[in-house]
Formats: sequence, structure tokens, C-alpha cells
Amino acid sequence: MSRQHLTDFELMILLAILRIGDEAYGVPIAREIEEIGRRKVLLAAIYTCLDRLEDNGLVTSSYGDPTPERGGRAKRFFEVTGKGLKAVKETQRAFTALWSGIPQLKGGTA
Amino acid sequence: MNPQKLAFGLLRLLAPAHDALAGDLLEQVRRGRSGLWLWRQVIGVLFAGCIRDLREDRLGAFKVVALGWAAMLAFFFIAGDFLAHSGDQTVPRLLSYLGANHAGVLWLERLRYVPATVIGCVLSGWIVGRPVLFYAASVFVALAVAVTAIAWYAAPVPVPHTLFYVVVLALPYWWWSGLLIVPLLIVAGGLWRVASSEPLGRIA
Repeated sequence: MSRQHLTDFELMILLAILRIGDEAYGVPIAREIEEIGRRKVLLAAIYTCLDRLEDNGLVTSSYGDPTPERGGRAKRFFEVTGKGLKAVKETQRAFTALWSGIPQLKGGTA
Repeated sequence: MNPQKLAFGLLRLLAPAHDALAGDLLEQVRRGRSGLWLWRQVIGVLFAGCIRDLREDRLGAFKVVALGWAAMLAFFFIAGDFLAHSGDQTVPRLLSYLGANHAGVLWLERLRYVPATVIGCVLSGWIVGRPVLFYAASVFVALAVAVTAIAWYAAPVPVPHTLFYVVVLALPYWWWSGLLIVPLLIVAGGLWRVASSEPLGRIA
């Protein structure tokens, strides 16, 4: 990957996958971002971002079994790779470093 | 076909690689999400797919859009020339005798161009909607956007200008509505081609 750090949306998606664990597919990822990240998202945007993350080796995906409630379509499960985890940590480090030493942000929850 | 089935049918036709995403949408709809939510998601899928595909193969997209333009212009030149030189004045004259005013006669006279408009736009969408060439939706949507943008730009061109044929034939006497009708006709042509190439198959 040419970029060193993740975009905020990429970071949100990777964190959502890590929070969900083994059952991370489109619907719970979107729900996690909407409920915890408090951000409205389109599933298309999530899949576009996930495809990009997969191309960059930050996530891997695998298909489950087709289920009747999904019209016979399989779920696509996502998992964060070692490279993805490293990118999350590096982004966290960069953000934390940028956060520190800003007087306007001290003493409040923003 | 109800709107929900139409949405899944479009997804199946235009974004066949997004089967897992279609499953996610169906799962959400069955849990109570509204039809409006579904359509917003489907439009998002198609739009995102178009942008990604056009970015991935810009030259290929350019070639196919150029092909659509060439087909449309060739048709409009032929049809425009034919209609300009062999126009049957019988109906307008008859209307004039019957007391229709000048504006009304002129308007009806111009209605002769409507079939050419419809055929030209649908034909160009149909030509570029070949799924074997490219991800079809991306191309005919790109063509529709390009034609609308150029038609908007070309509005004040003088009569001998090449683009006059596009403006006159694509947007005859209904300027503002034409800007909506033209892209819709192109998209309809593209959808027609894709649907005739591949059956709708499994939908919700």
C-alpha cells in the first residue's frame, strides 16, 4: 500500500470488524458504524471500501453458506489481516501523537 | 413487478458481482427496512460501481462512450437531413386551414422530430449497453451524463453548428424536460440491451 495511514472511514470499518469478530459481514459492520460510530453509511460505500482494503491486503474475505432469509445468497465474512492490524495501530499512534499537546482539547470530551 | 423486485432485478442485472451485498439488502428489508431505504442503497451500489469501473478502465470507457456518441450523431445527421428535406407539410397546412394558430402549427410540426429523438437516444444506449464490452451500466450512464452535459453546453449554438443536430433532435421544444428525457432514454436503451442479453434470473 502506498499510503502510510488509513482514512477515517477505513479505520472505522477495520475497527468494526475487529469488534464484531467472526460474524463480521456487511450488515453488522454497517450497524456497528451507525450505532457506535454514529455515522450514517450506505452498504455500497462499505463494500467499496472493503474491496479496496482487500486489494491492499488489509482484510481477507470468505463466503459462508447460502441462507433462505437472504434469498439463497451467501454472506461474505471479513477478517482483518496482520497487515491490517498493523495499519490500525500505526494510525492510532499517529492520531494520538497529533492529539497530544493541543490546549483547546484538554479537559473536555469534545 | 413491484418496486422491491425491480430494485433487486436491477442489482442482479447491473451489478452481478454484488451477490453478497444483495443478500445483505434483502436481509435488512425482511427485518423491516423501507422501500425508500432499499432504493437509496441500490442507487448507491450502482453509482459506486460506475465510478469504480470508469476509474479502473478510463480508456476503455472513453472508447465505448465515443462509440455511443458516434452512433447518436450519425443517426441524428441522417434523420435530421431526412426530416428537414422531406417533411410532409400536409398536417400543418390542414391544421392551419382549420384555424390553429402559428405557434400551435409550429409545435405540431416539430412533433415530427420526436420519434427521431427517441430512436437516436435509445439506439445509442442500446449500442453501448453490450455487457461483453464493459460493465454496461457504467458506460451507458456515462454516455447519458456526457450527452446531457454537452447538450446543456450547446444550447446557444447557431444552426450550421454540428451540435445543432443534437440540440434540435435531442431536445425539441421541451428544453428543460429534454434534459431529463434524453438521459432517461439512453439509460432505457442500455437497460433494454442488458436485459435482452441476460435474463433477469433470480430476484428477491
